[in-house]
Amino acid sequence: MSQVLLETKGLKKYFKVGKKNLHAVDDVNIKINLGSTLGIVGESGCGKTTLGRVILRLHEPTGGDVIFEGQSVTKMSKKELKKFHTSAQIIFQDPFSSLNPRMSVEEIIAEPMIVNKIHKTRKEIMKRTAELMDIVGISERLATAYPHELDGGRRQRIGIARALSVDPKFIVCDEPVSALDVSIQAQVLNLLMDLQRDLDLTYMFITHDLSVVKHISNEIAVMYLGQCVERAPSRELFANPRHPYTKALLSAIPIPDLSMRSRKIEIIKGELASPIDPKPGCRFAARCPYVGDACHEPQELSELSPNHFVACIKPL
Amino acid sequence: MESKRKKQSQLREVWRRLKKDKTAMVGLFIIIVFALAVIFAEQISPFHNAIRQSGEHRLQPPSADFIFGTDAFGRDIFTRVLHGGRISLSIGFVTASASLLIGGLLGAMAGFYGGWGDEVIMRIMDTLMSIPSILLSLAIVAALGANMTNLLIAITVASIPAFTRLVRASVLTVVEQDFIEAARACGTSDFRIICKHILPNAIGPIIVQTTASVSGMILAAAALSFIGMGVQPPQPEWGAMLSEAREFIRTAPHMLVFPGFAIILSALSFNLIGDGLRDALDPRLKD
Repeated sequence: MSQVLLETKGLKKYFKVGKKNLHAVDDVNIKINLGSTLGIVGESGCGKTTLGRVILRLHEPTGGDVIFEGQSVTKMSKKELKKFHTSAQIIFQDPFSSLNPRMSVEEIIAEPMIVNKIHKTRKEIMKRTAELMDIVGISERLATAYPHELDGGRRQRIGIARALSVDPKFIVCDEPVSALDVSIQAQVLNLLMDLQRDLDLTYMFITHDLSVVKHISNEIAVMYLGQCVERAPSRELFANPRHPYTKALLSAIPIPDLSMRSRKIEIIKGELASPIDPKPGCRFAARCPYVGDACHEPQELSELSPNHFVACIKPL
Repeated sequence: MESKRKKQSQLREVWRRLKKDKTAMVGLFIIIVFALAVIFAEQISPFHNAIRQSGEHRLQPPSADFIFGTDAFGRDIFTRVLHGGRISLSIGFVTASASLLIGGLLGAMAGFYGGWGDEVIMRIMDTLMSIPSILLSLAIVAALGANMTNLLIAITVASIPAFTRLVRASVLTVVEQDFIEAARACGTSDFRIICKHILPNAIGPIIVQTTASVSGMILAAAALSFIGMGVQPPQPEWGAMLSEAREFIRTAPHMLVFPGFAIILSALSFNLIGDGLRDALDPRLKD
């Protein structure tokens, strides 16, 4: 069994909304193995992005812990946290707001190296910047260009180069392709996969696009209203979903095949419940077609078959 | 040293773009002429000409002897404008810079950190803003005593709230963007985030407000001088000269025209430079 790089233990993040709490991330337990990719899927507002930010401690968690290489991220001092951020980086969803419009391409990529004093001289930094631009496939002549002069795909490549500039082991990819054209999406995904192979990176890949996550992940965690409801190896999850929500999610993937036209889609009824002070018990219960009395008890993530975890009292 | 060289090249880039802006260059030219004139005022026409009264030369229109004419006490208006500029321009410059610095710092802190600090700062500013600024300056001068330093303090304090609000609002539009989060994720210090990532993106409206406020400051000083709380006569000052000239607007309009023009031209030039700088600092408007 491969080595665990990052693990969360009962990680919680609540946002105060007046006197109530919005449970953005609620008791999430995930494990990411070194060199692998964990896909995080779930619909909008289910806490995927917050989970990514809390893991990097860009938001302070409300409870629980994040263990990175055996070290507790939540207990790190400022100095240790700075060091941690040279091993763990993030790529953002929106390539238009994630780059400083007043800095040129080379300044953006060099900035983390300057801040963390990774190279001693300016010459070394500029050399590394040029290398990084080459790695992510941005032409050298764009070094002095500003972000507004570039298209979304190139901007996202700059975001990737910036994340790589500190030589991280782990990168949180927060929907890195969802703001891009489909044709560019494939290029950026392939770039990310090539980088993973060449630089031994570990990814946490946040997305709502199931076809993307199938393409890139070794393991997938499904989130619903701040909770991880199912976690399994990618192939296993797609072949054999055990949680009713996962099943509904998978059946919603369109299949580009005429003979599948009459296929029945499992539609879930009702609206997403409010994440503000949710009722105890399974959060999917109100929409679940298989709901029973026991569903109003708190649900624990349990291992049904090796590496396949489900938080459902009567899994499918 | 390495970063110093880079900073210089960036400044050079801004200067190169500013040079292309004709109206900004006109503004810069006028301000330089004004600055040189007031710096060498003593050499051009000594101060005693500005305060020497003469009954026989009262209210004379511009002539070869008095190129801007004379005022109600027979004093040479040209010399008075020259020496008045020393006071007026430094009031405008010092108070605008001081309120930018203090208001900017408070506003940046309030916008960046938020929370109770933001509440405290902004409620104090609201309190200051609820008092009419001229009344506030008046109260401060009355309490501290009428002299130049207190005049500067009074005008600065009265204009700090506007700067604080503006800077806070500009910072708030930037601070929520992802590139600030990205900078944090690299371990960038708060100070560097504010200086390198937030201020350059929030600077446009701040520069315009600063340069536009210079003329307002000159007029505020003039208003205080007018009611005897600012610059004390016989010391000349543009605003005070303007006030004195009001009585003679029909009989001797030249008394009003020259200090008035001096205020308008300096205000206009500051605004032109401000607009030019805002554009030159924005790489999105390159070429």
